[in-house]
Amino acid sequence: MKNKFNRSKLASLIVATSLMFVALLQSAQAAEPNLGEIIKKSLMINKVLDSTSDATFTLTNKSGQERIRKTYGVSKLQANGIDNMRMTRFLSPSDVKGTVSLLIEHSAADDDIWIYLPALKKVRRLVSSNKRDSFVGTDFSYGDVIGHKQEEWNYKLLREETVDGAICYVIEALPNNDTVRINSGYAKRIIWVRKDNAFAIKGEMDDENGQPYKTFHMTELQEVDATRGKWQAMRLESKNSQTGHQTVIKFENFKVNQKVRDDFFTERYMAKE
Amino acid sequence: MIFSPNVTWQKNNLRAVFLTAVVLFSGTFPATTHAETALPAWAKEWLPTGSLRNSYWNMKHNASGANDIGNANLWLKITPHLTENITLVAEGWARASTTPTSANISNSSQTISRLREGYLNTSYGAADFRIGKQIIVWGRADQLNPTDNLSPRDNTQLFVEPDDQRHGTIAAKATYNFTNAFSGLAASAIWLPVFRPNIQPISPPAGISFTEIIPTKDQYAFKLEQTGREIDWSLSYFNGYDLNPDLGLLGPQNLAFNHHRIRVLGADAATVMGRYGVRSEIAYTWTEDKSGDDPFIKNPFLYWVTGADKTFLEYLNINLQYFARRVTDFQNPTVIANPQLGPIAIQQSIISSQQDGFQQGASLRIANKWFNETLDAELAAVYNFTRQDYLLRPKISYAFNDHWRGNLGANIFRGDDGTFFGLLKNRSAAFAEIRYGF
Repeated sequence: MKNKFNRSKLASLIVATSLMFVALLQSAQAAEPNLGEIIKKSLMINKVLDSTSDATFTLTNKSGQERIRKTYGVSKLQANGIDNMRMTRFLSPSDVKGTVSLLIEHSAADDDIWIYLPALKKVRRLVSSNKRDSFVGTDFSYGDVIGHKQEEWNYKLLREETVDGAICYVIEALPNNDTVRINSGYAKRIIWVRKDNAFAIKGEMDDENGQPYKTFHMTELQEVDATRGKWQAMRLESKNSQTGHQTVIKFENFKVNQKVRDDFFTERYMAKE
Repeated sequence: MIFSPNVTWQKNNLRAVFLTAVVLFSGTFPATTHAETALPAWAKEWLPTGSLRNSYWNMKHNASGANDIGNANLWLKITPHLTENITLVAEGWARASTTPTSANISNSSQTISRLREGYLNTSYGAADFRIGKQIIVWGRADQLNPTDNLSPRDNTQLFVEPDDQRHGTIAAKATYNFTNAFSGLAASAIWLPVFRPNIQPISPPAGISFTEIIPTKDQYAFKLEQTGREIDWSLSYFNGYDLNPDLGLLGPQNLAFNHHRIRVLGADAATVMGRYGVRSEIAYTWTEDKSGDDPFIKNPFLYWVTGADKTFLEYLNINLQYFARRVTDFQNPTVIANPQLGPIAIQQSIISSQQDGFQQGASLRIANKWFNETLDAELAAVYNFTRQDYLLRPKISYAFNDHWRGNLGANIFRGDDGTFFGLLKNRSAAFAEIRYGF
């Protein structure tokens, strides 16, 4: 009887130990971050349902000379929940005042772009920019603004590091192939992604030839939609180490879930002065 | 010709210098900046934006006979919201020139001002209304627009950007914007009670006078337009007067500029194919010369432009277009035996681009930007294969900062005397402009 009890107790012990081992193993595996999921979340973290904002673009050349552009922008997420519609109206300086750009993103195809130039008094359809092209003369590329597709890059966790008081995953992203490298203009991206909300707050980019190229720094983060867990940096800075040029974009009056009408994303709105 | 100051030039140039000085040194710009912070919101709406532009032009032979021309221009624009739903848009310019640059049949003044636009804009639901003096631009092709027949240009004014030569015409425009399944589709109706023609840089030869005859009947236009889908397109119809004149003979020493009634059925389309932007525009114009046998009225004609543009590297954009004109019931004006009417008919055919039953050509625009879009360079060209005349327009522009910009360039017209651009040879010019925007 005693032996039977001991055998039974031993079996239970073995099972329990095994279960604990499996649980520990799973726990250990869970501690390894899933980089693909982090990047996906990072790409979606600032995709709000809609937004309106005022923005100031400060462009500074290497000799310190500044040019300042003020804009009013409206965005709205399309039905697929991934692609945005973005309207940007330039308010100053005078030589670009009244210029309106409309960008309709298509993650599975080329984006649609229209521009209204008040001097020409007509809306022109433009060919979609390459992802590497400068976004309205800034040091951000269209790819930086729209987001680099997660599946086109290979990710590797380098380390963890604290930036602006937040613990970040430091992730290296390498292009899957030469086409991605050439189209994005980057041979390597190192991004600092906050552990708590997956917001990429810092970046260092090498150009397609592997030379140091740009750095990004996003600050003044605000949780703009707590219900959906959406965050937005109110200050975006990019420096081009090759030209010495830098861009700071500051958002003000950033409002989300404003029930933005589709009218904003039409020729009708663009051409209204 | 090298620019050489002389007493006359200096005297005349005082106007330009004075206008510049008044604007620059009256403290307008700093005052505007300080005032902006102090003014209530409604008053800020009325603060104008604009620019002061000082330019120097060296022309082979201006209509007034001068080679060196200095201009000071003040451009102002306001767009205040009068109510939540009504906006006033007004834009105009004033110019002081060292010499009459607009030496034509209607104006030869050294100082000139013009209200380019002054209209009210309002919307009610899906309908938009625009009433007043307004510039209406039609056509999706680049610069060559067969459907663009509503708003005139003053081709006598020397401006760095050709589109600045446009000025408004009195019109009432109503647009209905379709929604839901037809989103992006808009139907417009336009009524133009007043006709204003293009102003041409033509001076009468010695002993000849010109009389421009301005018709007074109403004009109207309709347009159905789709944007925001795979293909942007429009269908349009215009029933009004020809902006460009037909030559006529009023008397032995008196030529008439007649503006005959035309009806224009047009269409255009623009889309993106891969990395190419593709545009096409076509219009058929019915004139009052239905049988094509009146040498003093344009024949009906078909005008077609099609082309594509592609951007290489980051900013290098190349835009190439083919254009063709087919004149219905073409009759060669050179066979007119009448020694008085024959030369006029030939001139009429040149200025109307109706020297041949079929004309074709190409336009090319190469543009690039550098240094974060502060330096722009562009070369625009139009070449007529049929008559080998052409236009070249190189321009380089640099933004020193957010206010100051410098422009250098030229308008070069070449061709035989009996060709359209050859006729404009003496209007060839090089220019330099410094501009302050505020």
